[in-house]
Amino acid sequence: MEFQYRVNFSSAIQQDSALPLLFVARMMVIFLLWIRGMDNILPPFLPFLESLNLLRGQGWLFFLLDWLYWISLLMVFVGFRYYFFSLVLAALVFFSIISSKPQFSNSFLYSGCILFLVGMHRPGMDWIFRIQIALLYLGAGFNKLFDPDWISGQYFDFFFSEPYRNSLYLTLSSLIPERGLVLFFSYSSIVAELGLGAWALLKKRRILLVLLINFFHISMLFLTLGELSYIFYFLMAVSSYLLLPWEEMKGMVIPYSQESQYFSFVKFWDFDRFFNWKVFDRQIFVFDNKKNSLSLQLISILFSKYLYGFLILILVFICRYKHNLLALF
Amino acid sequence: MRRVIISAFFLIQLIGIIYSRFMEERYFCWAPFDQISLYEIKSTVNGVVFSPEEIKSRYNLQGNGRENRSIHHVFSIIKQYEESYGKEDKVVVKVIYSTNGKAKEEWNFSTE
Repeated sequence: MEFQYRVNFSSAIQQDSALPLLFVARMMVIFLLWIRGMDNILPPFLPFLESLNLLRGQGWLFFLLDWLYWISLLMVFVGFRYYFFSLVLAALVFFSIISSKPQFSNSFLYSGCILFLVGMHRPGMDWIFRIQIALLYLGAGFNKLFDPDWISGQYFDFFFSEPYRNSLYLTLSSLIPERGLVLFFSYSSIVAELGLGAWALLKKRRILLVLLINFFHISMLFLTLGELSYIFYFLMAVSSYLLLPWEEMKGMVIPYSQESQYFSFVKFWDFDRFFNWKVFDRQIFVFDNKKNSLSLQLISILFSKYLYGFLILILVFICRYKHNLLALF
Repeated sequence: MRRVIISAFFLIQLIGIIYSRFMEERYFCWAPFDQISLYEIKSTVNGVVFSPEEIKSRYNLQGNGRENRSIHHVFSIIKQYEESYGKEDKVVVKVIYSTNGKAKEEWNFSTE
């Protein structure tokens, strides 16, 4: 079979998709720079592949990689050939991880996976994000399922007693016998992760799935007072955004009253005019039957990517700098 | 070709999840926060007891730290360093750790 490969720098292919790929790619840039604090490509240090040690001392190479990294960040952020530069960023993330065991983290790896899939995506391939999210949750769930400390509740007993000390838990656990509370947390976490993973593979009730993913991670933030894990909340809130039914919702008519402050606010944030905003007029009030069953307010705010992204950033900012913010008061 | 690459990409992840069942380390298997291990590294290099700052500089690990995936990541990093970059040194390393609040254990490594 003759194999041909041609690098296509056209962005026209990505414009055929309603998925907010550029939004996700930009949020990954924010993740790398702000949350991860990655401002350069480090030389190998205790790599997973020993042969990468040969690159140590090649300062010129990492000087070039740094330039490549920053150019790619900029290109993705401004949206120029962003799917190509997403692939470049993904490669640099994977290289950083493979070349240094201490650099390894699941969040860092996941950001690389999302950037890779954004770069590889073409119209009709929305399934790749469902599978990636499913792999993450199913992997996390199965790992816990076979861990004795999770099954016995030992993990959460220690979790809320020491590293994430929670006085409410300590009070409740003394009232509920036989480690009932920790077992509840253990099994509900496992069931939630396995359930979300399995659900991600389906194309059913995707709006509810995305809301539950957000709820799952925000509830963890709440229980740990913003500690665990705003990083994964950020990544999952952003990546799960791609699971929403974008194609079906594109151009949907949103009838609204100009006196409605809510809709005026949400319409302001719809910079791309994803929805078809119509001033309320009873004569033109036409609705698809399926959409009738969903809250207009929820849909309009959920599919407003700039507002959604802003809310994610605000929550992460509060969690990350909560001690500084509390000090102000 | 694109679908083949993506399929291989997912297959690698699936293999990682399955393979981790047979390993003590938790790399590349989507296991964040599966264990919480508090550890203390005590390292003597060529007869000199290292401070926490020197330990951080040597292994890129905190002298007193927390590992949220598997304590075996700490062991793996120390072992790999001493068998590669530090193979000319004579070291005695002790890691005192506790996983998920259970009784303290020790891991020892020596090249003397």
